[in-house]
Amino acid sequence: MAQGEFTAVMGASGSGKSTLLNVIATIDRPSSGSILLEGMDVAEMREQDLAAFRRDRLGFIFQEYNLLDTLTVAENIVLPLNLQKRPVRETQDRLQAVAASLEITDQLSKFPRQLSGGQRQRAACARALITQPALILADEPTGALDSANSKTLMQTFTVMNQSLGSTILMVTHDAIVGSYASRILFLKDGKIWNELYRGDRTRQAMYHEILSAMAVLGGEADVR
Amino acid sequence: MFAKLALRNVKRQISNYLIYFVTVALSIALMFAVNNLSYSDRIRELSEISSDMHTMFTMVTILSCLVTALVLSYATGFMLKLRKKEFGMYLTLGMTRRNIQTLFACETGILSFLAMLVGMGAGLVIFQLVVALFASIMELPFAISAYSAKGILLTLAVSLGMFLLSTLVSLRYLKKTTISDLLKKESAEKSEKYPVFWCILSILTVSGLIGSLIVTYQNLMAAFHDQDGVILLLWLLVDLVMVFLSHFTFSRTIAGMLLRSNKLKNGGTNTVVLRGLSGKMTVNSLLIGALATLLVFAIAMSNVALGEKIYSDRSIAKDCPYDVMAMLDCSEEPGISMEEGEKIIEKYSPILSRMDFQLYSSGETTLCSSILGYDVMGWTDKFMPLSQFNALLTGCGYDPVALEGQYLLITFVQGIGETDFSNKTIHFNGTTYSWTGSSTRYPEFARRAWMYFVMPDEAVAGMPVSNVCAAYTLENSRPDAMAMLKDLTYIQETEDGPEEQCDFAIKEDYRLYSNANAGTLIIGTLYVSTVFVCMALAILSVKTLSTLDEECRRYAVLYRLGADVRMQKSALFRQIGAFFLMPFAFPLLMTVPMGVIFGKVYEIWDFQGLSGQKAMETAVLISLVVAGVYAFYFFITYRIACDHVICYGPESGGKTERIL
Repeated sequence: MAQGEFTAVMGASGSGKSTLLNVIATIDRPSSGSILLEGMDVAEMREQDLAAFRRDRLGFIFQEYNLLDTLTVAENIVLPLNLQKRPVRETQDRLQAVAASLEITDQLSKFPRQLSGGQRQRAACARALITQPALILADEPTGALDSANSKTLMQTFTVMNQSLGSTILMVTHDAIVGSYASRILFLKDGKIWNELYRGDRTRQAMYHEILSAMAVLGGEADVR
Repeated sequence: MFAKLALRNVKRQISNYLIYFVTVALSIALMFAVNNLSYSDRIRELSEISSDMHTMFTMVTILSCLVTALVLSYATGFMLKLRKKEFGMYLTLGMTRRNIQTLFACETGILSFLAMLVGMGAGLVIFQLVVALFASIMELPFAISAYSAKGILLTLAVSLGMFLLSTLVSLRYLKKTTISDLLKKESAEKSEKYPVFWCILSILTVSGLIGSLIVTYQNLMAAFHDQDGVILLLWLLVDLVMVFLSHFTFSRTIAGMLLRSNKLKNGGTNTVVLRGLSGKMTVNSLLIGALATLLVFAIAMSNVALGEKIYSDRSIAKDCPYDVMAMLDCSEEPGISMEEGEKIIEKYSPILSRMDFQLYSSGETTLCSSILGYDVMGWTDKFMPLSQFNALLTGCGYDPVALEGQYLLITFVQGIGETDFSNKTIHFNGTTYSWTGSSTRYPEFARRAWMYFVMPDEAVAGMPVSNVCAAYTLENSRPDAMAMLKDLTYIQETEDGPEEQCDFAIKEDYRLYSNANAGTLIIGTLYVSTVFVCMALAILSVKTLSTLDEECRRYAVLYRLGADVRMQKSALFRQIGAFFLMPFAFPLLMTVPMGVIFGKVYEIWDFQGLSGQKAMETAVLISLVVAGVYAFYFFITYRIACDHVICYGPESGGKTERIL
């Protein structure tokens, strides 16, 4: 992946999407091969370095948000910075900036249970963004959202990618969600079976391309 | 079918409730030991010395049973609520309520049976250890004691009663509750709603506690000067209420207050720890208050019991400084004369030495009448010649006293000792004597006199003798005191009818009585304290382990966000440690003022060689023991939590995947 790229990984169940995400996220080790991020082979790193790598270089967005329910939205968002032990001033500045860009400033003092699903996922995006990671990993980010909130979230992803320059790798089953990405990788039996680049195509055209590819793949793409 | 399912469920649950199970078994073991001690034939013989022993053991057993039953009901109900979703699922799958109740009753039945079996087994050993401790306190040789059928049956009956009570409470809940209630997810934690209100209340109650402790201390000191003890008891009660209230309010606010500091929150996992604690302590604030109160009570009682042993060891030498002390009243015919008494004493041990001394009285009340607050009707001024007093003093290791035309008041009553005689001079044989001071520190040579005055020998010359006294030193300093006392006792007709009287005091009898009381108090309080401390820790442990599923999810998120193993362990350690410490910190700190108070008491009673340092050492020893038990429970809980919660790395990556 190039810096600033928004890539989606699609494929049938069991094709290896989650495994790919896990090994890139360094929570699983690859049985062979190497994973290079900014020139470093993360598969070769020692355990104590991996935690620092995840903390400093990766951002995560999960299907079930995985916000800590006992923490306020603001506390959830700044948690990765707290783990990095950044100064209070810098933490607060970054929090205000990321909250403003994702339009969740009003929600900062609330607890996750007081938010809608879409708001929670935006808070999760803010948490992933706040450390300005080299790569944001999103695992079925719209899996728990309705179509309206899914659309809003994908627009947020677009802002993150285009305005804030984030590099995003997203796993999804959903062709509509996939159509927001600039590049699609199709996995089959643990290998890249096909890939699509958006280029100058509209999102609608990209969506149809994905459906065609999925039909050929014989997969289980959800069409909403 | 139910038995099989119940057995499988018990196996599945046992790892989470191991600490609770062990604690219940331990409390049964202790109950078994104390009940057997209470009904032991050997101990019954000693009960003749201390008639309070059986009553005391019965009372501590009842108190411990009440606490254990409450804890048991709480824990059983808690286990039920943890699994209510599972029971709700059984009901939706078509099982009847009666089926569910039978299943739950079978499960608790199996757990209870196992706890009783283990508890009674351990009790067999603990009983002999308690007997050994009791024998050591009584300074008697240890011998294996027979178990009492009554003690065993009582333990069985009480344990069964406790288990039945706790099970019935849970069965009633299962009967009344609806399926939707069972399936509904209960929020384990809640945030504080009125932080400012609770913060103010917290400051008020903590200030109230400090204030009540100061007032109690003042009342305690006043009580040693013979002021009203009822007020002291009331203040002690206020202290316990304030301990409860301050812990109840403080536990609701402390984490919230700390969360207001951005600097503190910014450091690593502090926010996660403090937020977790805030919710947990708010939900459990009543429990924390109750546990702190129980622990303060337990630690205070342990201090009192061990202080009593130190006090009684020292007071024997003060109460009866010679092996046998006699004091006969010259105004009446003695039931047993000095010569008859001596013959009886010689039956039990040859007499090494005899020191005769007398109290003199002119029949006047010049000095007695100055004493306020005591019924001095019928008292007369009594005097002991200085030479005899000094002979008695040097005979038991004290320095002799010098009097230059003065008199010295000797008493064992603090209030009398504080009477001011500075304007009281007395005239004997043409000489005027002024008051040189009063003392409560000397041994009781004249055991029946509340007070007497030591005078230069020439002052009492020619004065009538009111009491003839003798101090004996025996070859065998530990004779059969009970038999000797019986032989030296006679019946005297009084206005209230015939009464047993004895004009002789036997040191060994004092020692037996004092040791029996100290032994009863120490074993009783150690028993209650152990049950309280272990029950408190078991509840904290069950509470902590029951939220592990939720913690697993939190720590998996932390792991994903880059918290390494060290960070996770540190967060978990602080989270569990602070929760455990909340009800423990104050009771442990209480040992310092307790040591100071005991030191002050020893100072007031003026025990030779017994300083405040000794009291502080006892208090510190108790703190260390409680802290040791605390550390044991804490580290076991922490280890179990670590095994369940901490994400160790890619090798356990599957774990976070499953959780998230």
